[in-house]
Amino acid sequence: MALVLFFLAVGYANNLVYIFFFFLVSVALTSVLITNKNVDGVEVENISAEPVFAGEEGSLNLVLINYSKSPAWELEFFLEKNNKTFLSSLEPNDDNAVSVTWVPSQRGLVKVPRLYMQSYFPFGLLRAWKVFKDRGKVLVFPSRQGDKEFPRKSYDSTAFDNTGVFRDHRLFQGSDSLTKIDWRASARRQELLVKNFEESEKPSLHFSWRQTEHLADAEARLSQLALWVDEAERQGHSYSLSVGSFQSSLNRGPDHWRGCLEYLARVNIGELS
Amino acid sequence: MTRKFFAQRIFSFSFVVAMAMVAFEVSAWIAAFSFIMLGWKWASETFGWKPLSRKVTGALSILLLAQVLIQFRTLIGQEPSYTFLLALSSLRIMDYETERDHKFVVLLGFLLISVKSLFTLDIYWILPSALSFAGLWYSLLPKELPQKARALLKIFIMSIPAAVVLFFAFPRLVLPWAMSRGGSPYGEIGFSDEINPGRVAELASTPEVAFRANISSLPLKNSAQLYWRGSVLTSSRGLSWRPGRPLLKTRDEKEIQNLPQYEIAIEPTSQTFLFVLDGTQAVRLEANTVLPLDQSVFRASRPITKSSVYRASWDANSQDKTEPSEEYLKHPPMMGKVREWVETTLKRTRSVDERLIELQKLFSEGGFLYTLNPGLYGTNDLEDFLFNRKRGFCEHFAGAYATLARALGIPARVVVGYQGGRFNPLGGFWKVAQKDAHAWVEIYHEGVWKRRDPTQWVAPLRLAIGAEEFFNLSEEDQRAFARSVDWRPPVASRFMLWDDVSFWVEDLNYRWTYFLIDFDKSSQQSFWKSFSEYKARTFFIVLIVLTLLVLIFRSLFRQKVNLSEEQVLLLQVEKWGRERNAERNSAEPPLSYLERLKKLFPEKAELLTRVENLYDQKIYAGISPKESAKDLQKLWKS
Repeated sequence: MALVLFFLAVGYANNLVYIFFFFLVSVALTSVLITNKNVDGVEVENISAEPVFAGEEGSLNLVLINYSKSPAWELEFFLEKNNKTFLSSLEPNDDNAVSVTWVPSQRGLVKVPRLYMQSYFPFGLLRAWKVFKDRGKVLVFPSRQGDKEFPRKSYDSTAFDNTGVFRDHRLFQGSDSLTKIDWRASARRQELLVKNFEESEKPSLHFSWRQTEHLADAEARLSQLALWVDEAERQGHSYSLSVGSFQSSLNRGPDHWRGCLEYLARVNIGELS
Repeated sequence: MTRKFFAQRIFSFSFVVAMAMVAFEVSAWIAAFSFIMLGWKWASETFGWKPLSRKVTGALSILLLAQVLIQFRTLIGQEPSYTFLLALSSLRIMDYETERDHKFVVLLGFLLISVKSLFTLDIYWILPSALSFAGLWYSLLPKELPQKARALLKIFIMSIPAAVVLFFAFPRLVLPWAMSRGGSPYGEIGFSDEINPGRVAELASTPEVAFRANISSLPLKNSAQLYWRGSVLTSSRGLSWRPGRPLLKTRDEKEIQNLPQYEIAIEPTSQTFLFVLDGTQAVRLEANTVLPLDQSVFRASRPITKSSVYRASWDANSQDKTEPSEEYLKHPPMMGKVREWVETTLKRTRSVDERLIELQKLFSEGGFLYTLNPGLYGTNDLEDFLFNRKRGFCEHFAGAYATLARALGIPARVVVGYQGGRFNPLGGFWKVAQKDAHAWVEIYHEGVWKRRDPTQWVAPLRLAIGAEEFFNLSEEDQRAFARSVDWRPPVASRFMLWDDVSFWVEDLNYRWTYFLIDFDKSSQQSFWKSFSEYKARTFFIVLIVLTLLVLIFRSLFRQKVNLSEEQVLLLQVEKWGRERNAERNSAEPPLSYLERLKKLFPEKAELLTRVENLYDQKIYAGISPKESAKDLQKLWKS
């Protein structure tokens, strides 16, 4: 467009078109400065990741700070090889948090992909951008892949979970396991009592590296274990994990879940063979 | 995201203004088509009419292209291309839907505004152009941005210096293939070098400006003295006259050097006429060669396709003594009462002077009426005009006078051009409009060509008050007072005020267009030359102006929150802490934060204590501390 105007001005030697063209160019140049300034003062202070499985969409949480004295408008964020953009604006000397989605392809401590911050402010015609690279690493769990069915051998036949919400006691019956007797309550009541729980009890599960022997690929085996751990946690089972030298206790809950998956994320396959 | 054109009021208004400005200049049917399309779009957005599909608008584009090609026989050139551009713009609005369409339409708007500049340089168009320009930029700003107008104003103010520097510094390229607006066989102003009955009257009915002249260095102060020659007609057909074949004339440059000069800023005519005052000896026109011809007329070598300025040298004592050839006595055969009058006059008079007196008597005592609507006459309807209807315009009087003079044996020719003008006391220039179009006669007598203006005997008031004011009178007043040289129309006070305003606007417009026309390559070079000559002084002035601009700019747009030195120091410390993962919590008082920092960074404890004391004393106790915040800022940085 500017070129067309330039040829009009020169071709017709028309000073009014020259004025128009030069002002248009000046506004464009000014907007270059403003666009650049818009992203210049903004820094990504911190990047943290929500737990994410390889091959699935996760969130990277960015903490942005605008060190500039002017507001930063319409900042767009996106990660390398991902065109999905996220918008934010910042007041002068203000901070803000933005979540950017990403899909890690592999497990382990993964480098945060290059983060792009761009802006088309003010006119949406010109782009200024900033690249944030080498912003640390985030832990990615193995991908959740394989058979959702728990292996038969993982069920603990002797130990049942008593982890449901306690409701009341009932009298011991012959078919009950001795381990289920509440000895303290029985001593007080002088009769054998067993605890009743709100939820039906679920069997404890024990997952081990050997249970995945049918899978040829070590990564696939880790993925299978990750899937079982995640499923067990989701279904409310207590579970333990035994891989190589790692042996977790029988437990459940977010910390236990994270601990198991973190091990699976970090484990060196060489150590397992 | 779908966009609606008319829902964005500022944007749609700006674009419609840009279209309307160009619509004034292109074919009426295209303008009508474009606004019908706009109306349709409006109805489709407002009342849910079905908009034209992209296929239909595409087909319409092709049909329009074909129509323009049929009408103009080409697409190259200003008229056809901009006609097509306007029509395409309206079709683009019909397709308007997406963000991409929006940006394209904005760019089209910029193009339409600049195209208007090719048609006219008048300052009157600057306001709508500027509004449209700003509105288009405004529409590009994000919707969420608060105070959008203020932000845009800030950007525009920031852009002015670069635009000014570019305008004055960017070298003006002169292309050998420079485009022109293309010629019109009738000329933009309608002036032609022939007179037919009614031709000049038709021209004088239009209000457009022909040219503006600055003759302040000449001793001519009265509008009746101003006869602007355009062309000389030598071939008589009775009331109708045609030009002869003028020859090139050479001038002695030395004679011209000391003559007073005047300037004329002419509107585009697509013709080669250069209007000059009687007595003009030479004309200079930038970027166009001037051809001096005999009969004291001048032509440009190429048609004047854009507003231009030319300078002329004038000699008060100049006289055209060129001896006339036999051709200057040729006239069509005299018939009926005209023949009788000629024969009678020839018998009754002996000398040329006596015949000239008879001629003057015929017009001054013949009961003629000077009017713009004399009715239709044939080419040689002299008898009907002179002895029956007696209604005519200057061309009828001039044509009839010169033909009769020739019949009486006096060499005569008709000169066409303009007479008088409206003087602008503010700008010191004369505005000559099409209404001032005029025709008069020159006779060869006593060895010199002398001017005779029959209109002066029929309607002397026309020459005394000027055409504009004369034709503003009612028909009754024109008839009643045409011969009263000293009569003046009554002036209402509101008209005086209006005159002042119009003089002021005209002056502004003249200065503006003159600047735009006159600023060419040589002006640019002389500007920079004078700039370098007065380097120090200019630099100083520019510096002051820039400083003032920066101060105004800062005061207009500075941040509303002014931080004290202590606050700046605290911010500095906070930033330092943040970099070391010791961020101040949102609810943490500054002094507590400083205390925490002291514990975390004992090596900075001493300096932090000083900061703490200063902040405490200045902000909380309100007393002036011994230590300066600036010193502490420096210390902190180091």
